[in-house]
Amino acid sequence: MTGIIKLIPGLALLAAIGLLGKLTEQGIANYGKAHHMRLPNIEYVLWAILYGLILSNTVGVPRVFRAGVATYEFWLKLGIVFLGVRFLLGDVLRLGGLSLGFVAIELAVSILLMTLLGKWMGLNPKLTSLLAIGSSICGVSAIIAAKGAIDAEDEDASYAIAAILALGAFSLFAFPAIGHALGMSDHAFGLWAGLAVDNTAEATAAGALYSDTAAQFAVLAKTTRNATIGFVVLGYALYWARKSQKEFSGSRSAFLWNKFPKFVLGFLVISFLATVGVFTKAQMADIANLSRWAFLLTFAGVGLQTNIRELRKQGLRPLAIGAIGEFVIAGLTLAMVFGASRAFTF
Amino acid sequence: MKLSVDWWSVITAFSVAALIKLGVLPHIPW
Repeated sequence: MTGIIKLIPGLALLAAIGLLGKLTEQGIANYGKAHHMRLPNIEYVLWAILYGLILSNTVGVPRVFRAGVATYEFWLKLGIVFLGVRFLLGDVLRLGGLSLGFVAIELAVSILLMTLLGKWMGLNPKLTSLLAIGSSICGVSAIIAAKGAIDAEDEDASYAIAAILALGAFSLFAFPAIGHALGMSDHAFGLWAGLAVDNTAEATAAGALYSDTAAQFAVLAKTTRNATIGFVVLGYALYWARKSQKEFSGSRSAFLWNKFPKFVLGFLVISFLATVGVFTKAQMADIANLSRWAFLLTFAGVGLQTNIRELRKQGLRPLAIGAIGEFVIAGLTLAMVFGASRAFTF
Repeated sequence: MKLSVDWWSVITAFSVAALIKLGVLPHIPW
């Protein structure tokens, strides 16, 4: 019982920082609406990390909070299992053959490109994995899921999320301008935005800035990418579990099972249950909201545990690699969609 | 046997999802 009481101050701190992040996101959105301005949507995740980071790297975290703050790993994993409800395997089938092919190409090219760029610029391999997953599938959620699955450092996850979100905000302004300049159809532009913009909120917004139809196609392409998250994270989890086996002699399968993140299975099971219709729409929305609340606590904790001195050691390279990768992916997917829309007239 | 954080997260998630499925928990806003 005393164990639980010890957690309370830290949990309250996580909740306070997380809520402040949520209020900041809403405040900016409301200000933009009231003044008819299109402000970039910076998600609560980034604000929570930022506030936590400021607190821990200026005044520091007093001992009484530490036990509760350390629970953020539990909230991360809990949130990921809940997140499974948002990734419906059925979404994949609704998109149609050609677009599905595009999604497959986008995934393969992004993972390959980011991995090569990371290796070439000497980035730490786990951060490279996070950037590859973030840019190929779906920005923040994928990085969150992968962080736990490959046991990456908090600093790496903070950096990868910041890089993906910064580039997402930029694409909100750049994409519609490019689409109009090229005279792209709603269908083609939506497909492009859904393929190239990494965070679901920003992909949807980029589509909506073009037209309602474009937003629908953007969401469809984006959810298809999202639906692959389980498989890609599973692949990376197995890769990293196997990699750390090198220092181990003993039963291979027992080791892999030991190292394998069990909550990835939980995520896949929830995703399967949602796909086969176990939950109603309202119940799925409730579970998705629970995952957001869990991440709110998680990322306040990630910020509180992130050491700026460690981040400085990484330098600007991860951001540069993220930016180069994103530009190349945006260019490639644009060429692909634009070419196909001319060839098949859509 | 002490359960890992991984297992705790899975057990908690499925218990809560079951409560939502059964309609025991109220609507969860965001």
